[in-house]
Amino acid sequence: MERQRIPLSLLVSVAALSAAVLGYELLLLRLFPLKLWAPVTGAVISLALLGYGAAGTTLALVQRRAVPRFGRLYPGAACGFGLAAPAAFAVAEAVPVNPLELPWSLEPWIGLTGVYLVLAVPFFLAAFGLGLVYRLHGRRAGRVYGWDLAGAALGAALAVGFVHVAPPGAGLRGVMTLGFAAAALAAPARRPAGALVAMGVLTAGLWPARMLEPAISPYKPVSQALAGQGARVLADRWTAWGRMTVVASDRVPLRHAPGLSLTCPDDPPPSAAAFLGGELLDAVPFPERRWAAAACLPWALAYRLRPGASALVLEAGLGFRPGAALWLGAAKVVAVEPVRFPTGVPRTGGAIRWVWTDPRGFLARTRDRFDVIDVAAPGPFRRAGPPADLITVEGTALALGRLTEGGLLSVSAGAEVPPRTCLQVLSTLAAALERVGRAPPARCVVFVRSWGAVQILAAPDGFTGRDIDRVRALCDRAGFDLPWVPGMDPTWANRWHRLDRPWFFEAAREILTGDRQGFESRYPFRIGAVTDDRPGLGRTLRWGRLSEWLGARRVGGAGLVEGEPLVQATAIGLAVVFGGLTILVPLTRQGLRGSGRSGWYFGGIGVGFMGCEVALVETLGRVLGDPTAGAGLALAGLLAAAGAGAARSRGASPRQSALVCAAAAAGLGLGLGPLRLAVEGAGGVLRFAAAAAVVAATGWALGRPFPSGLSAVAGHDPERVPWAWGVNGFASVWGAALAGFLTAEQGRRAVLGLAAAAYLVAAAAGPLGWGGRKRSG
Amino acid sequence: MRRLLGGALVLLVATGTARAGDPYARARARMIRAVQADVTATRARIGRDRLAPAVMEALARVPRHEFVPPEWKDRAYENRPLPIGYGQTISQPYIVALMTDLAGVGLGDRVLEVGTGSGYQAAVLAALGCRVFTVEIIPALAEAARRRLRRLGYDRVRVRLGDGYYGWPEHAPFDAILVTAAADHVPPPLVRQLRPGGRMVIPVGGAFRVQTLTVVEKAADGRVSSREVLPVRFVPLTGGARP
Repeated sequence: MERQRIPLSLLVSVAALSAAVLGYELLLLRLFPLKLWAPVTGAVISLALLGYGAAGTTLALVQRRAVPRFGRLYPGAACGFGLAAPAAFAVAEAVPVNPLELPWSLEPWIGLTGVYLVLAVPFFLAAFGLGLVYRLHGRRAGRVYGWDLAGAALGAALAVGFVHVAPPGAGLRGVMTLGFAAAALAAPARRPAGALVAMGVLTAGLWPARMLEPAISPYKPVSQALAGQGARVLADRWTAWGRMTVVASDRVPLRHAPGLSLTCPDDPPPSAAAFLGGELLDAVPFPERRWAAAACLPWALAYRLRPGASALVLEAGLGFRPGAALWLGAAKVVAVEPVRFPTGVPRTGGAIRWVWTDPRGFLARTRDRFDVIDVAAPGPFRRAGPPADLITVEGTALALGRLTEGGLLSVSAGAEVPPRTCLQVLSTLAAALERVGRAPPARCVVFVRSWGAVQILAAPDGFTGRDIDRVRALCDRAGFDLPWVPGMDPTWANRWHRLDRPWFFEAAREILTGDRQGFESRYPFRIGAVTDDRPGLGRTLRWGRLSEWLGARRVGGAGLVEGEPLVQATAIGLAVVFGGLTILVPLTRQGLRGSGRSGWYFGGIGVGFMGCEVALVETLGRVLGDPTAGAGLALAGLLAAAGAGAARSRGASPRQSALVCAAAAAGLGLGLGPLRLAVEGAGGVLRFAAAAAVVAATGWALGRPFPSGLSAVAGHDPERVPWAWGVNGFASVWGAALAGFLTAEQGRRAVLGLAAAAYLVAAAAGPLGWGGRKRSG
Repeated sequence: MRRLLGGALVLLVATGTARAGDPYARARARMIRAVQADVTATRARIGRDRLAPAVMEALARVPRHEFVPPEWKDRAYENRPLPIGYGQTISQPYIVALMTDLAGVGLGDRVLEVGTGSGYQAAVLAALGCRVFTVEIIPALAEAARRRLRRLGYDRVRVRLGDGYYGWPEHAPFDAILVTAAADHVPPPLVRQLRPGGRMVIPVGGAFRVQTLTVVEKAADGRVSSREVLPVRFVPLTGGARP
């Protein structure tokens, strides 16, 4: 018999457990990239979340024995989560995995499978407990789900807030405590509850600190820097953006000079380097501020062309580019950096005006105009930090609009061979110039190539003959090639850093003067313009060519296969296979009648919810001015609003709820991009209000289909509740993984289109009689 | 006919060095065949049908299993990079062979290697008759390589613990320089220590992911330029990409 009254302590317990689970997930996403790199971490954790679905399946199979033992099983599952969460982290950290070896052997795949299985355990335990609550109180699913989501919102807010002030490993103690607290709140009597609280506090307090420390891959640049003789750490702190380590060495000094001319008379000076998440953020001359070698970089070109410039350096890092710009004669330098550095870090100071904010937002809000705007694409100058959305058509158009007459937008990028990311940059600039330029793009671009680095200059007014003469003279002296300059002779393109064909020139000519879209579609890599909607700069894999690159991995092809899309696709494939099989298992015991429609419903709303969540949180994080904290706030707000919607969902029609969500997803698809552009230049209050309004309205709608559907199932066939819970769990994992993949491949609008379609499928599958047998629980 | 002769030579090298009682002889022969197959597959890109016979012979003589950690010995002759600890790798044999060939070195040449690692590349160069000066930044690797090379009789290799960025000016100029770990730029001291007419070979790409090799050439008049060798076939305008 279903109990209709739900004790408040149990609801609070659900919230605590849910908070612990979401906090745990977010902390893992922060901890594992040091060992596994971010894309692999994302894939492994999304797979581990399948533990949620697996718990639903297990519960569906054992519910008749489990429900009568709720009083022991639920606290046991919560305690189990509290213990398993840090233990799984420690075990997963000990599994030897080197993702860089994925193209070469089976061992890393086996290791990653081990990591995934270990991490699935805590999620399984937590979901088993939560699933039991839904099974027991299915008819009041709205109330349970409301507390569940409110807890998740709290977990998101706590985790995001925590990483601003303490190492994420220490946050695992909080996760442990919350797990035990959830158990204590649901304990059948006071004495066991007290014992559980004591156990939780003791376990969390006594858990060895070294088992909460993330391992760092020895192949990460920070490990390489620390391995040298005499390396010393100037600062090593966890920041909101990841672990920041600043390294210098007297005996084996680091040097930073991307694309240094082979004819440079000056040696680059010893430097201190800042690493974020193990990857290079920036390096500055240290201890002496010697800048002479900077003049030998292709990056210096803009400052040589515009002496005495007022310069805006975006994503300025420790200040290498701002410092060198001053040395090269810039009259005024504004440096914008989103990552706040801990004290003790040797940042460039002097006459530089530092602004700590998100660079895209600064561009949108500033009223100043600059002679040079200096941007570094992910590459030799910067390989870490939050995504800035600077090199998108919209972002570069914004930057071009902030130039003085005759001003230059200067973009640094890596010179990979075959050319890929730098051509994405070029296509993006060409598209932006078509929007705001006052001359054809071919007249407005100068493209310079050195060893390992390129510099692309864009002048919306076009380059003068004097500019071009000066560029040629500087490049001749430095030994830089000129893949593109207005009025160029093709022989200038491939003289100093020779390729067997002038690929950079041929590509630049096609992009700037030819059939750009035709060329982009023929090219073996995806090099089309990057937009706010599809911001995957550096994501160039063309799936049709995959087998060719994979086949060539022994002879230089391994580096041409990007890890992120492959890992994402593998994770989606595994999730579909594993989830699909697991969903079908209980049906062999429970019978298939009616399951198809409920399966489509709960699957559809799972995919739809995650599609909306991913697109919304990413976009609003940027609107709020910080892809890290802003996204955390947006997530917490969305979950809280969804919780409120769920709590008020009693009596709501599942079909109508799903239809409303489909409309909301479609509305977001149409309106989210324009909303961002409309408010990103506004003040903080207005941006916050806009984000809050969207989050509240959308969250309210998204929170309703699950509890209304689950109540309907519980009213009709309570034993189907765990299965529906499991299907929704699996679908949520697929939805999240698909959303991440589709965002990069097709854009956020496509993700929201998928979400709308998924909700329509769910609506079509309702109303929820679903033809199942009428049972009592 | 040339290809036939090349194949015969590889076979000779691969089998001729298989000494009785050498448990790795067959694995080494397989490795040589794999390297040759990769060279053939990439001949259009690397500009040659086969590598210099002396290079292949050196590769067939050097006991690669001595240069990998014990747990990797049974895979020492696979045509792939292997970890050697401290975040370093022993390069893929095909890349070692190609780098050596691109350096164009021979008997008596003075060669600087930056990044000793396990010492395998230095041993291959020594097997070609070069005088090798190799610098390693990680103390444990430098010491292990020094001992290993001495034990295996590579007397023409000198190992130094230090910062390879500065090269080894006391022994400059060098006929060739091989840099096994690329920075974001070519170190000016190395350019200065390269003899006019000499070549510097640098792989581009991270550990396990070498994708191009750069040959920096210093002309007789001191002018410096570079040439990129991309093993993978890449035809941008038609979109074809084959090994």
